[in-house]
Amino acid sequence: MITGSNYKLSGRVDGTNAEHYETEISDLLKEADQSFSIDLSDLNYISSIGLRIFLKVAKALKSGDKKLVLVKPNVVILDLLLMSGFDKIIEIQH
Amino acid sequence: MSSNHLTLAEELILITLDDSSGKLFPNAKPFAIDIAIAASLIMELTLNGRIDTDSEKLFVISTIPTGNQILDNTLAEIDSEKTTLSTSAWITRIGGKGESLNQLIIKSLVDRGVLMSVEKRLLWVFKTRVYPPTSGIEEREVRARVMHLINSDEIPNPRDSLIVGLLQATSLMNHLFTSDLLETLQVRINYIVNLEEINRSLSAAVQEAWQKVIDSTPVVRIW
Repeated sequence: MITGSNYKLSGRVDGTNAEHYETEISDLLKEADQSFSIDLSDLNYISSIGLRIFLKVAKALKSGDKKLVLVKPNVVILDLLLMSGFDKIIEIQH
Repeated sequence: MSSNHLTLAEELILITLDDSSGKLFPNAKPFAIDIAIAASLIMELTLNGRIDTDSEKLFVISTIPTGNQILDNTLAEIDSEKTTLSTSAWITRIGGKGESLNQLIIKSLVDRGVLMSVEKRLLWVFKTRVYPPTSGIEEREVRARVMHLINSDEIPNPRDSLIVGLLQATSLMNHLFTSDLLETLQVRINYIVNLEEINRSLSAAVQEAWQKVIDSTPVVRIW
């Protein structure tokens, strides 16, 4: 779901819908300023393929000296992000 | 998927294969290579959007054939299973095919002209088959990609994270780097490997298999 120049992910993100979200987010990156935020407050589940979206977006932003910020993940998603070491390359605001 | 594109399993075999002996990396634990080959097939299927994983399970999201017979057979096997299994359970199960699976991948590399199949005689009597590279370009390209990624601070793409996970699990990193350099790079390697859930499942599967070997080894007591 698109909100302004940033983005909100809700419900489940897995291999069945990840490509759709990745395309939507990629289209928005051109307009991103210094950082691009993805609101995860309504995200309940994310699979391995879903997590790869964050890495691809962070990589694309980094090439333009910009950064990705993940905002308000729930406890389960936050644990997953920390376990995968995503906090070392992506700013997580919780 | 493009027919020119090497799969992770093929890339792993290229790095693992000892060109002169025709054997897979002699210093690695044999089961580790079998397990890593199995993991590489699962990884390729996730990169192709056929299966997905999380920390508890592996699930099929599309049964559309990839056009690669080995991957499609693996996908069909996973799809026909009634029970939902974890990624590490699937890695262990597919890894049980061992040498026969490795030979299929070597054959696909020979069919594609990446490797040659040459008969050789040992001690003028015993026949053996070796697989020298046709040009070696593909193997050098994989090695260069891995070396560059590990020596940089780039955010890895998923395919590269996964190949690093495969090399780590099979101890092939020791083959690519000197022990001193490897020690320096270990933090970066661990970081790259950890980004992918399948790498963690692979590591668990290798550890479990190793534990089984230890458990089944008789204890010799010296009184």
